[in-house]
Amino acid sequence: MNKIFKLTTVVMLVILAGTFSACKKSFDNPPGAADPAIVANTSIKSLKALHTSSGDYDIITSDLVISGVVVADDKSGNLYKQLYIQDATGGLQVLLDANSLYGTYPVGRRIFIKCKDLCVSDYNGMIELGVKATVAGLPSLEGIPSNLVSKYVVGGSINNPVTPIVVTQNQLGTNMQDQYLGSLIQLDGYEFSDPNATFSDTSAYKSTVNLDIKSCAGQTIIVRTSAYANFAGQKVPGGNGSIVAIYTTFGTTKQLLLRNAEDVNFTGGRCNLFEEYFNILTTGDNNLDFVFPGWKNIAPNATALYKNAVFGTSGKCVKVTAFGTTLNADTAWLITPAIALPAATTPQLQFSTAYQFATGPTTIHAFVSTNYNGSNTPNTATWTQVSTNGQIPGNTATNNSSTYSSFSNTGNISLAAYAGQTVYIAFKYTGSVSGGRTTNFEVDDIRVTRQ
Amino acid sequence: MPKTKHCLLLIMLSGAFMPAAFSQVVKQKDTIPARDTLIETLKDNLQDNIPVISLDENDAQDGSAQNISSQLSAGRDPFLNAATFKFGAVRFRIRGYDADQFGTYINGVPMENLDNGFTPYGQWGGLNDVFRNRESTLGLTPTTFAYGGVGGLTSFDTRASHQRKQTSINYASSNRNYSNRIMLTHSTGLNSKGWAFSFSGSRRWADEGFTDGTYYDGWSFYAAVDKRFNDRHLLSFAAFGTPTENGRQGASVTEMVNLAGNNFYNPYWGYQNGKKRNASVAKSFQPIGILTHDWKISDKTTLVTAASVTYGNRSVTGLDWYNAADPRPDYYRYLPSYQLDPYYAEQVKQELMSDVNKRQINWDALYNTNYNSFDVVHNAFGITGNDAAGKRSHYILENRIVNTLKYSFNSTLNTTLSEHASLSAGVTYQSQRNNYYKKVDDLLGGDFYVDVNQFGERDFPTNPDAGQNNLNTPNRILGVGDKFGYNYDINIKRGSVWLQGVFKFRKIDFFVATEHSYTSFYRYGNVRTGLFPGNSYGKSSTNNFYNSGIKGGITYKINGRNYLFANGSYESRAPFFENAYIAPRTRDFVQDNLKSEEILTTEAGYAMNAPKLKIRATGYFTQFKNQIDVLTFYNDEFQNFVNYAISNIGKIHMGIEFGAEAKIYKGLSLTAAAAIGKYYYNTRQSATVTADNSSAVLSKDVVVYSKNFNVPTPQQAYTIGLDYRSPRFWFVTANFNYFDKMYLSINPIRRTESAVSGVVEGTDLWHQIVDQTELKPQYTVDLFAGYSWLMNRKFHNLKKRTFLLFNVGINNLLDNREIVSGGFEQLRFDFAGKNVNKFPDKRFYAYGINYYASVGIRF
Repeated sequence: MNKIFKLTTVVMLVILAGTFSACKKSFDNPPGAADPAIVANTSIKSLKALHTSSGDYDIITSDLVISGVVVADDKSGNLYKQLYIQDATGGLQVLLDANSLYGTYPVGRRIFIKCKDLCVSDYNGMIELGVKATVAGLPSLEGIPSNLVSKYVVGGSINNPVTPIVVTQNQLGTNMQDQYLGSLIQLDGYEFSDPNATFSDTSAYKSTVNLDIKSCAGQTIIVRTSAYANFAGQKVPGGNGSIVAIYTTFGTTKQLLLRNAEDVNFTGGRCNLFEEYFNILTTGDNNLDFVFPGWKNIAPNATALYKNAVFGTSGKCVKVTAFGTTLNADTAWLITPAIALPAATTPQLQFSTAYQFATGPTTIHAFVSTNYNGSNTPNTATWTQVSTNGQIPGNTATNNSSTYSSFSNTGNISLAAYAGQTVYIAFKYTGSVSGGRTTNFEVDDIRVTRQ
Repeated sequence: MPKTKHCLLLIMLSGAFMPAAFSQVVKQKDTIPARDTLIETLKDNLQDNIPVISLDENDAQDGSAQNISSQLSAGRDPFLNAATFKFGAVRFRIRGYDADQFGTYINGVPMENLDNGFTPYGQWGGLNDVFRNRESTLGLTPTTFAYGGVGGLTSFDTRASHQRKQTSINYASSNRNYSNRIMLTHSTGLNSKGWAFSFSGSRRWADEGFTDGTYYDGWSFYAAVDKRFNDRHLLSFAAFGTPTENGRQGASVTEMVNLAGNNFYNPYWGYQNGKKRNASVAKSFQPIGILTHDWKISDKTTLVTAASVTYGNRSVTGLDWYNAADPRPDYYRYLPSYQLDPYYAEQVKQELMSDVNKRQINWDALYNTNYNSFDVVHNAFGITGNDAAGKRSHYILENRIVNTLKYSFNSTLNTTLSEHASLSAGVTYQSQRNNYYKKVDDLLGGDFYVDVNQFGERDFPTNPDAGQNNLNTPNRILGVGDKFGYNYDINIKRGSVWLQGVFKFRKIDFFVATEHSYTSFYRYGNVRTGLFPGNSYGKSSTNNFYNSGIKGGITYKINGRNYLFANGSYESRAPFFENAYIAPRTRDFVQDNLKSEEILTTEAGYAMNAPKLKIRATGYFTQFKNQIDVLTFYNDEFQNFVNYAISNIGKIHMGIEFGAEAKIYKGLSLTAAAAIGKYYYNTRQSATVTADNSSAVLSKDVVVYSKNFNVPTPQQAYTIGLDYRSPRFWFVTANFNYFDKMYLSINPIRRTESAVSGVVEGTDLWHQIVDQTELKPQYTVDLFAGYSWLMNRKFHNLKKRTFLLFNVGINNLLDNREIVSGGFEQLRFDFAGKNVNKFPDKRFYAYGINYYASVGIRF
């Protein structure tokens, strides 16, 4: 009998061991993303067209299905609880009441939206798709509640190509139905107006920040960035180039929304190849001889040199006159540092002048040289006059007024002929004490732009 | 069976004092007649398998919760028996004391964890056969093996020579944590050459436990050998371990429980390819070896010396996520109540009610997120220009591991000085090192994870170090099995000596005892955290505490059957590591003014021990002063772990315990027990709030208006039962249990000035914020039955006495599924909206009808 029990024991031990694997859990990985068997029956453009009057809530009552590729998600934190999707007809802002949407709906994922019971409305002219809710007694467009998202939004394939539409600023309209609103666009040849700015607010207030970018032609548009973006504290790139962004409006104000800092490809040289506003001058510098590093200030006698002019807190420039000097046939030279003009551009020079005690014909003109060597004898180089009297009113004025004229900008003076070369620009004052040609000139805002 | 002097002394003491106050010292085996032993064994067997949830939530986070645990203590005392077995369903705690007030010894060594004072019952779960020899005391009763805390002591004797010589094979079925159990035990008894061996092993398992998505797979091993050298020396070695894995159950908010239509809703699991997968899997294997030397120095003096070592891991897995949506299905933003528009609240409600996948973890979505997440990590491993590209997991399963190495040494001397006086003395040294760290358990379809902290990255965008979990190897690319996140050791040492004199005379017995101890602990950081580079790596300063206690008691013997007794004690106690360090995961800061707590307790009562009636009634009063605690929770507003360091916790625990057992008629007896207490906070606590990943102190020394709030354990528990024991070797007992005055544990931050600022005192809203939730009274009915059949009566050729044993126990016979066994207010509070329902409380429900049935053979 004892043997029987021993046998039983052994048998039970075997059973015990045999059941060992029964409890071990193993799990297959679930399948990955693929396009579902859903067909879009309308376009984003047609869906947006349902919303004709700003402020209305247009609830979709039919079984409309749109499909688009996510072109902007919330990965960087600049967008919050929203995605932008786009098809061939346009882009659309979609509101979803959930965080970290990029986990499920990353850029490049095709999604299908069953729009029935959703609502198209707008936020000050910017069309959005969401749900109409009543909050505190008032209607509002809200994100699709996170647990309902799967009822409306179906994810499809991933890594679809996302290519921004290259546009010019003039193509961007502010009409609600504008074809580019909500789309991923690209503008070329822009730069931040303030190259030293940071993208957004790093203070505790976490305010959203608007920064201007501008083209070399002077067109500006806003880049709007949330303080919650992970690049909020980054310095903007200082150069010039292309920017990829979602185009939005706020009323009639055009705004660009970045997906991340890498969307700003401002790596080229800025519009201004050279600029001098004399802003570092201070009151104490007034009437002293102008001395800036790299510049040349050359005159036959010391009194005829260009002087610093500082009046008030804002007016800072340089001035020159023959009055009280022995300047006769000779001229006073103010020569910029060397300026490299890139090839394949049409560089433009502009500057501003003002005058006083105009006794004409005293002249100041801009000259360009490609063979000046930086010496104190500019006369030995070849200089070509590029400004005309028409661009500098003081050259022909004779009113002899004690009041300074207002500054007059020359407008663009083409330096296209010098593209690809390094040049010096000289401001040559020609007056004569003996001839009574002693007009006082001021020069400011000297710029060479690329264009 | 040979007995050591130690045992003799015990019996002598037990006999001498029984049933006086000290009679709570019960040596079962020697006090129960042989025939009854089997019945008692049957009962034990049933009772041992009642799930008693004895660990708190804090503790559960690091995986030490076994879900199932053996009894805290047991004994023949009618009250202690009821408190242990009948009140377990609702997380009843004796006298409302925390688990750290109860000590446990095995073969002469203390078993409590030094970090929090808890007894790791799971380490010997499933070894019921060999853990049957035990003695338990309640309150301040002196013992011969330790000084003891204010709650009471249990001592197990698992030595091989003390195991009954027999072989036992047992199978049990249950619908609780496990479905099946097989247990085998064989003990040789002491042979003529002085050797004894004992072996036991069991497996408990369930593919799915009582609660959805849970499973259980627990093995238990035990081996012991004794060698008696002569009359004076017994050397024993016992080793045991319980490698256990189980899918856990989590508490959820009432809103979700109602949507699920199931009080046993479990947010921890979800379907993956059609199979239920649990995200919270606890594993544990911390085997223990104990060497015991029992030395009978003389007929009057014994010295028991024991040393033990414990080494192993316990761990629990959980989801971790990096810049991703919260994957927990019961996250408040996913619930209807988060919707401001009632229409959408209803829509979300319908969606959650109709789709089980919305109520559970969506593993497919987690995998798909990881599939889609191509990313490039720059400067990987801190090497400039080293890029790592691939699918960067946003969700992973992490494994939070505690590796423990614990040594204990204990030596106890007992000597009889005279007919009237005996002396006990002991010296104990304990050392524990816990290493806490995380490992990547599953990348969930991604290629890698990165050892960075998104909160640090986000909060300090201009400081590239702030997001690093370990500056020593920044941007570490992680694969499965790699350590990441935090990694630190705690080191605790405690040495103590105690001395006790017991004096007995014709009418009066009394005792006095004192203990002195020295405790020191420190943190050792294994990584340098980006946010706290100067306070995270290497050894912290050491915290040292000297403590002492004194206690005494007197028993007046009215006559041979009626006794009056009174005991008192005062002690100071070092704070526990886990309450001292505010955020040990990231830094070595301790609470301000770290000091010892003080405990004053008194108890007095009456005991009667007549042949047909046993009664014990005790009143007690305990005051805790200067306690501290640290509460930690995830706050999604900060997206951060927030810690409340609470100090100046004072509590009063007072009440009456009553137990009675009356033999009514032949084998029929009536048992009754009641615990009627009042446990409350008697001080205004002070809270300092910090976040794990910020050096800022969010709130400093906030006054918590905690005075007179209740300690959450049921304050009133009653049971009455009938027990019939047939002379034909079967028994049946039935009990009716009733529980009242149960409370949710409070969120201290809701009882502060800022929580009610702007709310008019006395308004409904004010009461909602401030008042403590009292739970509904509950009742259960339990039924037990057992039968033992001596096979030799039928099979006369059996050489050994062979028994077939049948057991069945049914708890909660009336299938009451509404029993809230406990719960807690979430530690978050909606300061802006003052909406207490934004972060509602979480509750635990006791099982509905549940059973345990076993059949075994013993020879």
